[in-house]
Amino acid sequence: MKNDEIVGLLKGEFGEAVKASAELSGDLTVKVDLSKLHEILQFLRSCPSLEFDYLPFMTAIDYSVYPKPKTKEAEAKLKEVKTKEEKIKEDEEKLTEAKEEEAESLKEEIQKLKEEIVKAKEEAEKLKEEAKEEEREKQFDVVYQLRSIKHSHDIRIKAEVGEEDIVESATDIWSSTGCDECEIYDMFGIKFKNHPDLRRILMPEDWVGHPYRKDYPLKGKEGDDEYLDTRLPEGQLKKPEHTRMP
Amino acid sequence: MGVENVFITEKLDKLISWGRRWSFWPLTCGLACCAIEMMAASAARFDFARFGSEVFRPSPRHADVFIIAGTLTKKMAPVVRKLYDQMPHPKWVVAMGSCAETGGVFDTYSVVQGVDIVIPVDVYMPGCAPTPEALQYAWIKLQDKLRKEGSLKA
Repeated sequence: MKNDEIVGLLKGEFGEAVKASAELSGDLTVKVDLSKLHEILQFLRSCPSLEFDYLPFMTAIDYSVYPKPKTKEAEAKLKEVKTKEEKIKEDEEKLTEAKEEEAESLKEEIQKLKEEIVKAKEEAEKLKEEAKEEEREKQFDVVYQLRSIKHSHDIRIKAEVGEEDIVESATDIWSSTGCDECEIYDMFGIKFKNHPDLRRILMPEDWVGHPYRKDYPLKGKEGDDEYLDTRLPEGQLKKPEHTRMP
Repeated sequence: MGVENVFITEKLDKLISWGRRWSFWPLTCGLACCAIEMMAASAARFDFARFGSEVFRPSPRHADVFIIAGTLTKKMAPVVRKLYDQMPHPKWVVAMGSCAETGGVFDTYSVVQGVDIVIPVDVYMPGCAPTPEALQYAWIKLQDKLRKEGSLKA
């Protein structure tokens, strides 16, 4: 099945729950609503013409410090406008003291600058409207990469998830998501319901914090060194002096 | 009678020390990729049997050298400490590779920055990963240490 046919089928079945779709060098990505996520996955698995029977991986993405190029561009344009306005002011001050010949050239310059400002402002407003697409309500995305071995086609499903949202587990559709969901819960703190055994898989079970979040410091938090203190025999832990950065 | 005799204790000390340093029994414990080099060192090409150390013991109760071969994470640290405590005296520790020495490139929240924070280390061995020859050099250094110390200190 071709990519547009898959998207058409999904949109026909679920309507507005399929929010957007994009294609990059043959890879199809579909963004769906979180409330309908489980139904859509079930449909992708069971529909005979799709039959995504294999889940290569499942993961999550933290978008909290994701670069926003269009927002940045708009801000840069507005900054340009400000510097030009300041230059106009300077020129006008000079104009009061200038002689006739210089005054004419200065007036021309001011006219030019004013025209440029009008243009730049228009462009900035356009960019601002385009940048609205970059704004997100929720911090995370959960990503499901699916493949059909029978029909040999691929799809990537994404759904926006906030910190307090609870995602319905896909273990009843693909049992291989069990470990992936544990890892997402461990590293991002996204919770799943109906999961048979949801607990930390990489970090110790009583670890505080979720290391793959963007606000988690790479070299650990201040209290992390105490983790070893509490677990090693008393008096046998050598305090690390050469390890942590100041 | 014999213990007071300096000649006998001196000779006995040397004999025991000689016996110990030619029959190290390492613990079968590999934490990361350095363990591959450790296995290579004990296989036919590099042949640890020349040092009397080909017997890798699966139980810490039988072992007397602990090779920390790889990255030690905080989750694993209490386990390594327990294994070390279960080994009978005399016992020695070789920190194999940069990760075991100082944490290596993994200056992160989850990695112990040097195993000497958790257990005392006798020989530090740089490299990422060290070659089997390097492990054997560390072995020779450990033997040197035993020769100088004798058997009574350990």
